[in-house]
Amino acid sequence: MQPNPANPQLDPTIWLDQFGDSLYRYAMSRLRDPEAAEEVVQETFVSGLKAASQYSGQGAEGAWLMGILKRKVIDFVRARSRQVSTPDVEDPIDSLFTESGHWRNDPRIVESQPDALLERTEFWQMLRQCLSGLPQRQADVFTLREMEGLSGEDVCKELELTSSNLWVLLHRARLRLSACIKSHWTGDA
Amino acid sequence: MFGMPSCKEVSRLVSESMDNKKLPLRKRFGLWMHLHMCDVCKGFVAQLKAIRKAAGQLGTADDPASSDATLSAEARERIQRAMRDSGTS
Repeated sequence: MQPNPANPQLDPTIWLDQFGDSLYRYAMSRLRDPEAAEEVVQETFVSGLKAASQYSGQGAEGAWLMGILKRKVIDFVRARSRQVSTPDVEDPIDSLFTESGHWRNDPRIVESQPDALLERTEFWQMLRQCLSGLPQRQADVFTLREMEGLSGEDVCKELELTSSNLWVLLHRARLRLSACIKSHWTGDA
Repeated sequence: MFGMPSCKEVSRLVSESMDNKKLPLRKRFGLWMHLHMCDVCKGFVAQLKAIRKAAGQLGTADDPASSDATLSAEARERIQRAMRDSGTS
């Protein structure tokens, strides 16, 4: 493979070695499926080659590729959400609350300074683990909204949802993730 | 208290407001009142925001628990081939 003559600022020969693994990890965190992650990384590089002439030379090559990858991730989630039509089982959110609407158990992972959770490696590990346990549809909306930062409107478009569907799914996903992290929390680490 | 949403209702209102749903003034007031008085829900809101923040950074350089997963040798080969093929086509 030769450096792309169309754009001397890009050097696709180094992409795989230099950016392959970090793009793969990013894709894995979003898609939670090794094959899917490999696929989007491959598509990212191939699209990158084709779009090389549009590279402005501004900003780092890795960031430019990351931008392409993010789009590929969204496309993948959309396509996957149309394939699997397994309806989500009704979520046992009700079990988190008493009949009068109080928390059955304290939902807080720590009693004070929840911001400090971000400094705990365990928190990130648990989040990663609990994400892979979410029902598919909740995982999809959570990924696009909370991980990729799409607006609610855009998530609805990508996944063909009404906004009330979206709110319900996100509410369930958040409660479920939160309860899952709490239930696995050991407090050390 | 009359008009005051329950914790369950608050969990929903908070989630919806994180998605920029416009809540009617009365609901917003009820939410505010509840959070003012309920430390558990207040902590829960902050927790949801911490989850949001971590979720956005998962798998990036800012993720302290980032996996050391790497592309397999087969995947690398496949990707290299795909890049080569796309260059010649």
